[in-house]
Amino acid sequence: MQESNEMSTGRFDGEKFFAALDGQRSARGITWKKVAEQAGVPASTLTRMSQGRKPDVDSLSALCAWSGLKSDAFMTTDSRNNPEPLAEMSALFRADPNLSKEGAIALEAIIKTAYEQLRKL
Amino acid sequence: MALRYGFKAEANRWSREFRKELKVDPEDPLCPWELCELLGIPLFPISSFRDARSKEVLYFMSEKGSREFSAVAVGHGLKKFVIHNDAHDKKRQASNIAHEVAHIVLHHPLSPMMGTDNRRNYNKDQEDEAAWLGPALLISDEAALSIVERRMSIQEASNYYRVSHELVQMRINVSGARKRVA
Repeated sequence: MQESNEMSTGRFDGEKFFAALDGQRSARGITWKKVAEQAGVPASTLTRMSQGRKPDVDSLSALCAWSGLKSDAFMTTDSRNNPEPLAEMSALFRADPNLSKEGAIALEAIIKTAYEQLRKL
Repeated sequence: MALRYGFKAEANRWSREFRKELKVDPEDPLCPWELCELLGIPLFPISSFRDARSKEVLYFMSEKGSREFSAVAVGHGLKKFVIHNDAHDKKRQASNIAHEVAHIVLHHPLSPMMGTDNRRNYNKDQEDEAAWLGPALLISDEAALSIVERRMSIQEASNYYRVSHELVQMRINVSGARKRVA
């Protein structure tokens, strides 16, 4: 087997892992809460992971054991952050029934600004 | 409100387990700002965009505009952040933030921004779930029981848990705390 240095600069692809977990979750017909409980990880773990926070070793281990996924499969040698397509912004509006048309336009402008500022972080 | 089977029990477990992670007791107040930090959810008061969007921000901070906007979760891919209206009083802010956190914790998918007509993006089941879980995070089942057991007034509970009177009353009612204590 050819030895490679690539793994030492590898990066865990949390998003890909989360998507794979979602596949397992869907297939088993259970909620995210149930996933955390069955895997034995803290309640915050899966939300943190979806927010881009890397899971600690114990949680990752537990989730791999639960799902049958192998963490190696989610190591990427791509050292740069994935560039995100500009068009993919999405928003969940709290159902403020009072949001006027003027308000909706103003809110969209603020959200766009927020998004642009945060993308730079 | 027809929540899916097992949802209310699950909501109680979210509430209890987040408190454990935040190192507070099950009947203690829960700070939604701290919860956002635990969950890795960036949280922004709308006033923080005042420099870049002064006209729009001032609109939502005005008396008229503040009735139109409480909070919104914005995302790209998996990651989400929350913008909330800090012109509302602190107790209302807590409720607004908890509601958005509930959506995120439940992994409700976001709707495309293009439809700024929020009526088109309204998903009743998801709104019902967040409307239940948000308050349940702020006043856990254990907290509701504790309020009744300790004979706290609504005002006292509102101040102690840093939430509105309405939220206190609602959680006491739906948790059946009075019947359980009687």
